[in-house]
Amino acid sequence: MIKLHNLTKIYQAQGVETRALSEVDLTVKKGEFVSIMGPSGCGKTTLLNIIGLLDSYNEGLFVFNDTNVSDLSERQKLKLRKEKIGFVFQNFNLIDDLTVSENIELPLHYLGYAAQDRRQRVLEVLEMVGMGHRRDFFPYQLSGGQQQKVAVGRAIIAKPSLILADEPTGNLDSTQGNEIMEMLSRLNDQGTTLIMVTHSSHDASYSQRIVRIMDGQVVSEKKVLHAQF
Amino acid sequence: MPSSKFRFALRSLYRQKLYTLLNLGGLAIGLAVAITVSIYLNAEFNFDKHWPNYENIYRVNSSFYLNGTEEEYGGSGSGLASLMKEFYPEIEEATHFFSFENSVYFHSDSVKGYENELLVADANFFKVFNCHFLEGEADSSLTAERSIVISQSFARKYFGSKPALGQTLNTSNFEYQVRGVFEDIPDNTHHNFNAVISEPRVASDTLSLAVSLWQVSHYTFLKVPSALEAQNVEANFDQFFNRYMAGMADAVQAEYRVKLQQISDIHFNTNPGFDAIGGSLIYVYGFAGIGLLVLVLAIINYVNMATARSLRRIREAAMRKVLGASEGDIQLMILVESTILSLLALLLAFALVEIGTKVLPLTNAIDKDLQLNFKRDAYLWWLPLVLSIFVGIISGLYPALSLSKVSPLDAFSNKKGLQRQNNIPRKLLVGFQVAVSVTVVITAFFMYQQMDFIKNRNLGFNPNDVILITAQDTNSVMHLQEIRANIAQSDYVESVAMGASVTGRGAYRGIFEAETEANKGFQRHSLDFLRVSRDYLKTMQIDLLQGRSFLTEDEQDSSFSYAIVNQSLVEFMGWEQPIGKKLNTSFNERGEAMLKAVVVGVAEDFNAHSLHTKVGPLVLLLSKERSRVLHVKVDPNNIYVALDDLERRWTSMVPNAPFQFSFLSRDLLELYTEEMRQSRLILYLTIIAIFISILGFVGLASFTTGLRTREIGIRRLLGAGRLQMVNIVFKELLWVMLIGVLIAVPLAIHITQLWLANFAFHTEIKAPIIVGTAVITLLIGYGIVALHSLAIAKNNSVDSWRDA
Ligand SMILES: Nc1ncnc2c1ncn2[C@@H]1O[C@H](COP(=O)(O)OP(=O)(O)OP(=O)(O)O)[C@@H](O)[C@H]1O
Ligand SMILES: [Mg+2]
Repeated sequence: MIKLHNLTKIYQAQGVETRALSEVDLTVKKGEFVSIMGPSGCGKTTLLNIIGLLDSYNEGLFVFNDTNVSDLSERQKLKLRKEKIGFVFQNFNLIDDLTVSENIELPLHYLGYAAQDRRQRVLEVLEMVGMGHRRDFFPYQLSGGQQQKVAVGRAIIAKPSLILADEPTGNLDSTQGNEIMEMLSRLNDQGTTLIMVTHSSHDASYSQRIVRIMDGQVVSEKKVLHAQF
Repeated sequence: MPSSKFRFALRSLYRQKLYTLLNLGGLAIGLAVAITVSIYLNAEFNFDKHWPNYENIYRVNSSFYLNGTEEEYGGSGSGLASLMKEFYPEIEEATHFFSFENSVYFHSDSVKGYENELLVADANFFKVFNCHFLEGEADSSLTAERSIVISQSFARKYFGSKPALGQTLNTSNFEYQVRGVFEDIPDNTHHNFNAVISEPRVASDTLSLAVSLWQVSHYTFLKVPSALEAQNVEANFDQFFNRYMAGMADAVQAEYRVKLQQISDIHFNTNPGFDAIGGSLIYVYGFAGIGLLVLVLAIINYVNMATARSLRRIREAAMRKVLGASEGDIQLMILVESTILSLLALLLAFALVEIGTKVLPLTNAIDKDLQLNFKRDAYLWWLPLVLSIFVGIISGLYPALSLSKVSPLDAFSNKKGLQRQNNIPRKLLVGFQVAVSVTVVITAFFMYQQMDFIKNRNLGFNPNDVILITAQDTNSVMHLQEIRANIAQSDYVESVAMGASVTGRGAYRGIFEAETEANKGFQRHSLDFLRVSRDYLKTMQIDLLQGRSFLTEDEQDSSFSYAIVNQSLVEFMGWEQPIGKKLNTSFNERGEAMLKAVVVGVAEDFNAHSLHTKVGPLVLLLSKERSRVLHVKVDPNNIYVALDDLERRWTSMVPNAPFQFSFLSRDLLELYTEEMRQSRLILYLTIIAIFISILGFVGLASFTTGLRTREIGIRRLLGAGRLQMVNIVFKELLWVMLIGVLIAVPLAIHITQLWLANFAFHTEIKAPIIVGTAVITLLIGYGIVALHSLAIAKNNSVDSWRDA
């Protein structure tokens, strides 16, 4: 599904050149669950943003679903992103002025769903993430774990084939973190491809493969042995 | 989708209540002012345009040429209307009327009261002025003597819901038959009227008709088919003049011309002599300007605040983009929100106008009918609607454009607002607001000072403790001499003077032959004069400079009388020896003076006219003719006892006439109603401008401090004093205010000078006031900044630097 070859990203700020990613090679197959780990500042978020079509890269090849991303226009990227990719963030990034169900519903607006279909789908997702009883709450009335559930709901509402999660449990305690991880791995079981950035090896153990990055370079890839559980 | 957009927008507004309230309130006030001013302007610019055929109605103005000078009057002679109609076939209708200067006492069976704005007109009046008749026949309503035609509200007052037609209305002298009821005419009518009384029929011989043409006593109105005929009438007036007026022209040594003025042109172009009070284009444009300014200020604020607020939504916009929103989606969202907000402001504005005009006595305070009448004035809803949609769009435009360009990556960055670069235009706008407010405050201050100056100015006579009694009906006029004698006996009365007009409110103007110093015979001059009785100088406390006052034995009925002239007249004539000089006036059709007078004294100059005009040459003529007014100087310690006594004495003399009095000092203030209205209006506008500017400044201060929240937090943590922090922010805003003040001061001085130029006597512009206003402005600015910075320092000293 995703193929990166010799991918390089260079930031230019205040005259200083930062090689955030340097000749990265990475392949993620459909249905896989990959964790990305590494020290702070090594380029994990940068990598995720590029995969999520939010950011550009300087050199190399990026193939998404057999399409060369460099051939896509902004408009096509937007379309691809809203149809195929869901995002989950460390700090939830819910919109303060919208209720739980409105936050979840939002991507459908931009996909142009009819009101009736939207409502139906929101109910399903609310059920899936277990937030049905809080549907009319505002983000500030929810705990961190609950907010992250809503964010997951929002990520999956459009039935994306790829979910990108950047430290989804980073702001949560271990109980809430586990709930989120269970939820994500259930999604993976149902066939969604998952790429997650994490600092926690416990969370990484939910995935099938761990990619380690240091200084913008992939240093190791290893399979997770589920037998350990 | 639209309904959910609407819902989201409202919710987002609700969550930021204070912000919404300030923003909405500011714009609503601006819109309300603009709406109110537009109602005012609409009325001003449509004076007399409510007449169905106003384009064909013309007033005949008079121009007299004497000694090479032209004198213009809005009025004309009483014979003119009928003679012109006869002479010019193109004139369709002609009418004349005059208006009562005073209120008249009316009573029906059950109701009594005083009425203003009464006309006495010939039978053709309603043929020219097409009132809508609710009862009676327009054409025949004024044919019979002692007929009265009244307005609907007049009828309601005296007859309730019963039909008024055929009922009788009494004044103290006469009984009138109601011959018609017309729908109330709008306030923006130059010659406004509540009732029209039919003119008494007098048999007029040709000679008196000829004389009447030379005396301005009536307003003459013509109805012609088009402007062309009006021009013809004016152009061919020579023929009329030769036929009817040339005979007396030699006797009075004057020329006469008419000028036709379309009725809707009168309001802003009133004539210097004999005319109802008109409007002033300068003021109207002034108010239009101020209204526009307030509106612009409010819009600027609104746009500013909307922009400042939207910049806090960068993360939201970025997040929406991550979730698949296109640029267009974001733009639409922002524009819908800002338009909804501005429409809400419009609703609020209409509510404010209603409150201002119905609940608060705003309409009274500025003496104008300012009703929100959507039916009558359709523009009142669509114009503001278009405007507020426009404001909504421009206020959303910048946020929409900038937010839609945000990179989705900003969802994860720490950017909370845009950086400094945007601050300069905002600062300039706020500088502009400061300039406007300071200008308005200074101008308002001097306007009030001028009003104060007028109230306290030494007029050259003393209006205090002078009670005016005006005889309203022929009976009291006839007995005025005896009434004067009776009143003079009262213990509470110091002295009484009889006269033809109220002192200080103007003088008559007449043609005089004045003896020259060098014995070169007489010179003709058009001079101001007052007809007074013997105790005039004493009652009015006017100083006598030379000669003597009038004596009892001077008061004789004859064609020979005595005069006292003012100092200015002595200078004007160049008299070295004024006492004994001869003055002739009151010329008959053969040019003979009917009244000859000799100067017995010279009085100090005093303000016989309002303070708008300089003191000119003036003759005080000892004359009983046309006497109507008693000036009664009463004991200041017993004013109310004196009033009781005056009423008792009045009633014993003329029991049927109501005792009507007023205080001279109060009456004189009426001369300045227009200016008082203006100063009140400017006061309101000042308050509003200050309010809106403070709003704008609060917006800028919170924006500036907001950008520096983090810095302030950290500095505070490192031990910076409170004052130091305030100063950091204030320094950034100080120059904005200084520039505003620097622009405002010369502007204010200029406007004030223009306004004061209307007064021949006026106060001076004082530097301390200007400096004071500037200092206070800076202090207020400092206070607002201080409140903001301190609040931030207190509340978020830890949070602000941690997760800003
Ligand atoms: N907008 C930017 N401009 C310049 N440099 C950037 C920018 N964003 C990231 N970088 C640099 O790129 C490198 C990688 O950053 P990235 O955010 O990908 O790190 P990360 O691995 O996600 O770190 P963390 O675990 O702390 O989130 C860092 O050295 C960072 O300083
Ligand atoms: Mg990161």
